[in-house]
Amino acid sequence: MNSEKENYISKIKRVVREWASDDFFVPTFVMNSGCSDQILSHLTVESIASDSFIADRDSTSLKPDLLVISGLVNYKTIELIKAEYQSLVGRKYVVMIGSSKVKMHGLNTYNVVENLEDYIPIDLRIPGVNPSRDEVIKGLNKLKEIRR
Amino acid sequence: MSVTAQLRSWIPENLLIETEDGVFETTIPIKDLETNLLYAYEHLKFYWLKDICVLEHDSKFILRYVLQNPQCSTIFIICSSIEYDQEVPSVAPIWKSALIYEAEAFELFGVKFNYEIKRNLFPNNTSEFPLRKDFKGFSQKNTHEITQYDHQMKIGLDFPMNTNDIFFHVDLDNDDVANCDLEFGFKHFGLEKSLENKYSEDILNKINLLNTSSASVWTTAWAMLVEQANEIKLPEKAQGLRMIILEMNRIKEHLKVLLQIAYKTDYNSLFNTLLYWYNRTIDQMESYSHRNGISSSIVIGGVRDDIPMGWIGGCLDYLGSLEKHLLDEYKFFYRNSFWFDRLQIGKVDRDMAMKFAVAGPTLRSCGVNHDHRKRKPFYFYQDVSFEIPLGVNGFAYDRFLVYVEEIFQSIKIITQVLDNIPAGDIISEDILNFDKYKSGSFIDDEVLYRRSIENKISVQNKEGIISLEAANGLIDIWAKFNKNGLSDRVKCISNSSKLLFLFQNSIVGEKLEDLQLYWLSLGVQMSEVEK
Repeated sequence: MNSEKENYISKIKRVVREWASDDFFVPTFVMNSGCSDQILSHLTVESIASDSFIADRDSTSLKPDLLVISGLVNYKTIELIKAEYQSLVGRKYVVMIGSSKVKMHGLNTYNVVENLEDYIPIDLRIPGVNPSRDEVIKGLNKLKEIRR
Repeated sequence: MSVTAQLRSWIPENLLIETEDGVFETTIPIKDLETNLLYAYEHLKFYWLKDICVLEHDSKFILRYVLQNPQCSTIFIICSSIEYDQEVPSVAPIWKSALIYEAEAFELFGVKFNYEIKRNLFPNNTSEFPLRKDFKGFSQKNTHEITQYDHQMKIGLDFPMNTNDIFFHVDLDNDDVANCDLEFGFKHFGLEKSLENKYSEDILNKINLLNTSSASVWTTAWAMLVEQANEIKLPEKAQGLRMIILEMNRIKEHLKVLLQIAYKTDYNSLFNTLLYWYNRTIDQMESYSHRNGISSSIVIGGVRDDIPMGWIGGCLDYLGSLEKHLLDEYKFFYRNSFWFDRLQIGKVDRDMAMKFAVAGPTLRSCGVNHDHRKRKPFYFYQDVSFEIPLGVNGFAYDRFLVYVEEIFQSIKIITQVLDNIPAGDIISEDILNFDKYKSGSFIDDEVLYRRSIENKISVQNKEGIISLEAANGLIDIWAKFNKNGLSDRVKCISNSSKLLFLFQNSIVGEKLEDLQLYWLSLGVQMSEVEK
């Protein structure tokens, strides 16, 4: 009886997860840029839940399937990003938000990863230094199209 | 007997250099370094070690120990030259803050000290040092191994208002922290290397990367340093506008810290109020300059943007409403026993804070009356009336109250400046009168303006140090320029690095569950620490 119940619950969970994953991305973040505050506020459940893009990570037991990266990445952060990428479930999606500031600011690049694609595949880039909410939503719409 | 008189009587006249801005400097052999530093600490009350800056000169290192007497703000620099492989005695037994700078000197220059230093920025097997003149890049692939521990806490990546990346590796003793090891280095982008061999205007455009959320503070400090070296006099209107920009930044940064505290304590109504006002503050700042927090409105010799039509009225409305709403919340949580009990954590001891040379709201929350705006007033700070709020015990509760009170004081300062803002230019005449580019409309032409600044406002063969009271404490910039007007070395000293090491050293005995709240209440910016 007990095992039957467990099976039933796990089945329900699986069905819910499948249903939910059609409509939501469950994100995880590596945010290093100065405008991360604003970008994250675009991505929070309050602003985008109505558009069914992203589930609030605290309110779900679903594991993340979307990795959102913004800002510069150095050789230490890339290890974090690789670990986060490995922890994604199902089809893995990676979105890079914001322009690459390395060239813009003329930084010496001894500790900056210039080409992130050498380490992980990137599905979508949303350009702009602090892109607006509309641009972020437009980008995520495109990501939904990619998934379909 | 004043500190300056004591210095003059201690060090022979031919060995003591005194600059125009009241900074004293002397050079001594390395064998006498420890005794001299101890004498300066014990007899001349140089209780703060602000920096240990390393310079490379003629195949030798020059170590510059920057000391400050917190009471009279006198700065005294002791220089000593060493060979590349010479071991230097640590001064951490005298000043705890030496731990920060010795670690930096070891990782970035390869200076050896008489104890083992843990690497944070680069892997353990690294044999190259990026800030040395002969550095051409790492010869082998720079791969890190991030150690996994049983009790590991990740701060920043999940939390919507905090972008700091740091790991706490904690050993526990019955839910209390017995030992804590920090893992950081996720925001080291070699900024100080990028600031070498640059004109002052180029540095102005890069230095804001130190803290992109309040870029104007670092750019203001840099502009002040260049203006001081070139004796550029700022128009009164530009001075007023810079004060407004600095105080608006303070309000924004304090709201951000309060927001994080409210989020961690699940105080939802306060969180919502603060989030609304945080966004309103950003909007208000953008409506002045049409730039977000990343770009800065500061240029050398003034400010880039004049006040738009009708902005003053809107800003006064915003300040009035912010004060009213914050006061309503304040009345509720002030003396609220639940709130008081929840924030009785993270005690910062006054002596400990002094040993780490910590300044800003954290020091003031322990009851130490130190604010650079009062000690060495600049612009119109001596003309406006404002108070310095002080805490008593140094708990997170005291810091919370100090942050809130400082927002009220900033509102007071901005209101006074806006009421009396003078008319006139927003850029100094020293720049406007530059003959070659003198025309009615060149300010609008970004390229011409930039060239005029590059040619005119370079600092040649000089060095200077500037201090500024930022939102989370005192920041200092020290720079040395060569005869071509290019920077030899720019050293940026933030309060965040001191707070980080203070946190690590005062964490033992805290509850594990309180660790995040303690950390957030300090308002550390990791980009300022790692650079």
